[in-house]
Amino acid sequence: MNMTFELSYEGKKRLVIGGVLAAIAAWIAVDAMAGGAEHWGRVFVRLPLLLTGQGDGWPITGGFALNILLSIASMAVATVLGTLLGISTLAQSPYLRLPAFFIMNFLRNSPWLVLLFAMLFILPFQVEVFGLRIPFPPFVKAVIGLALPTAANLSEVVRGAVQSIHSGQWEAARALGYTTPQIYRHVILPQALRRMIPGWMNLYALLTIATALATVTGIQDVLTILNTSLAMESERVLVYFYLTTLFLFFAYCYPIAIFARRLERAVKGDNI
Amino acid sequence: MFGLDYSWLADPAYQNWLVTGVINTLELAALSSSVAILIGMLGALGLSLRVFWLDALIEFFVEVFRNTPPLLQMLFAYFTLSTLGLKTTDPVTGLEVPLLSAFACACISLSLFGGALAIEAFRSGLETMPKAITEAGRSLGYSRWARFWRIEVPIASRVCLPSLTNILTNLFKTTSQASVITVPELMYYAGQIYNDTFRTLEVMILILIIYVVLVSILSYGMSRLEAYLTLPGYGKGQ
Amino acid sequence: MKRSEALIEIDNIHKSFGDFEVLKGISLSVNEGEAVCIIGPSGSGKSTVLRCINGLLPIDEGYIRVGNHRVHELRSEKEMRPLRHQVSMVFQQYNLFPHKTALENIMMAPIQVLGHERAEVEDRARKLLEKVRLGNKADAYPGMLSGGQQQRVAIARALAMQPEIILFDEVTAALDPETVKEVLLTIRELVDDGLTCILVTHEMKFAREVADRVCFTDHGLIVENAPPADLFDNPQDPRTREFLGQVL
Repeated sequence: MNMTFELSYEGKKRLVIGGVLAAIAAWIAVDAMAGGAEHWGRVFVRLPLLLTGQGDGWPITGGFALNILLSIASMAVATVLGTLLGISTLAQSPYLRLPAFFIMNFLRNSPWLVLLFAMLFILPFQVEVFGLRIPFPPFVKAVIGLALPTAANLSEVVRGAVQSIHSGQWEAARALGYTTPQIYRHVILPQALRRMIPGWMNLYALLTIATALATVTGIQDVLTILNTSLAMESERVLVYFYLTTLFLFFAYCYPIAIFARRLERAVKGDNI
Repeated sequence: MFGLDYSWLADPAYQNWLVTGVINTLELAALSSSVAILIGMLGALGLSLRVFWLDALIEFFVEVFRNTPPLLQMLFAYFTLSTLGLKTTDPVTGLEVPLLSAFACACISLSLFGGALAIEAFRSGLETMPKAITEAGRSLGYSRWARFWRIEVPIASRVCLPSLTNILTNLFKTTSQASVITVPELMYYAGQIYNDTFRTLEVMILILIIYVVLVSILSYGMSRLEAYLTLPGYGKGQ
Repeated sequence: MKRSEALIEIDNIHKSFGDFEVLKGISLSVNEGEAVCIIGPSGSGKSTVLRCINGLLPIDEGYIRVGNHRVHELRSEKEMRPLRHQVSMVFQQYNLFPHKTALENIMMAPIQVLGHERAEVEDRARKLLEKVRLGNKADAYPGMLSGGQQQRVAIARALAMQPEIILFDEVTAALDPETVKEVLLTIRELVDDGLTCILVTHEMKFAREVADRVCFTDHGLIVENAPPADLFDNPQDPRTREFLGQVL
């Protein structure tokens, strides 16, 4: 009975990562026994607060859940804006194309934090539309502030996807008498959509990471709660709080990034 | 114009702050970018050795830094290294001051963040290297190190340039987040100015424009570099 | 060949891409029901001429009339719609829409561009699929079909627009020899049905069998224009002789 234990290269790598994680777990355990358990206890008590903004964990008014909500809302806005912007950069008319390029480059060259602050102050605290008063709470400003740079990046993804479609598709559609909007609607966008998805997912991961910045708008996101909690806890505990928050972001964003990369590989052979 | 009041710009104190802020931003960006590129090259070299445990560790490092917010990384670095970290006695006041200033913490944090991105960029650059070139190098008798340095790096760096430009502009923009940990760069001084003058809208617009201009200059510079280094005919229609 | 009777009239058209002049003064007349083959070396402007006829490429100078349409005067895509109804095109790379089935590919344009009734179009589409001998592939996606099958679907798609004229741009060049035959057979049937066809092709034997006239282009000009028997057996121009000597 000869048992050969041959692991592939990938297998060995995974073993090491597993080992590293195990070592971290061991370190935490040792530290816990040396008194760190008390600190982890403090984190555990505060965890519902960190996650949902309420000590009891319900209802969801803030915390990491707010970050996720912010990322979803912002991504929705960014998707609409980004697609429109991307198509505009492909327009025939320079009156549409050049301003679109300018806006896109301006937004891409702006730091996310500065844009967020700018939106805080540029956008009014309420708008009057048709006699209706619509309030613009900080959350909405954060949604817009984060959506703008994401839209600019998305417009590049859209542009790349549309341009990757073989020009023969355009020729055939034009020869059949389709107008340009029709071509986008029936021929190009349905095909481009598949190629946009990995880039879209990557941007979503980036956006979620950027929601950490929303703390400057004052909304009760996980970082704001972290900071207010710190005022109430001792110094030593804070490290554990920081580590936990870092882990929250990692746990959410890493799977998304991995999934996006896998999709990218699947879509790669798509050029017809 | 538009009812915006920029009269405060005439004050030399504020001008001074703005200039200091820009200089510190440039310093922070330049320093962390350099270290990041160094980390990137070392990491990519390490990955090219195909040692499984090194691969795993580098991957671990890269994924952690890519999938967590740089702001949080900086806060953590500032807190642990500065507040809880090594302290030294200030000879003048006799008080305990942190050894690492906010600037140093931001630098370390940004370098690691940028380094993670750079490793990823250089790795994909080396990966797209056609096997034929490495084989040619080996058959000509180049040692592994010489092959890496003299053949692969020059070719791969051309391929990496667009991603590298992305990383450098990303790092530059991220320096603005160092303001949260009180690093006296441009964004920080912006806050100081509008706390003083209450002209928040005007200040933010100006700061935004300054950043966009600086990043655009960086972008343009990189594209000139790209054009200068382009290998004629390489990479097109492969 | 009286000028006013010809279905298609092209007079001295010039077309440049940047600094490079592709068409240096092409003139051609095509009567209704004629099958004209255009042959010549690559880069001589054959495909460009086809694309000028149905308005895919604008010309720099000259006159193009297709039926009642003065193509050189049409500016917007909207103005070109009636022209596209009368003239259809089949491409070398088939250019089927990969996200639609064969049947949908054929049905799309008549419904969405011409506004015809869906039931009637579906009926027409199925009949066309039968005609190109692909009746059982109605629900197949282009990715599941061979090159020859895709090209026949492309021909059916062109026919669904009920054109009077069909332009074929080297439609067999991307196919392997066995499948070339099945496509040529389909085209031959269309010619026999009386459809006006202009074919850019390398298939000399096919041109000889099917064409009423063959044009030889070289460097942006039509050098010779004669019935196939005359052109192939007794070429007048030395350039024609040289080309035929190389390919035959």
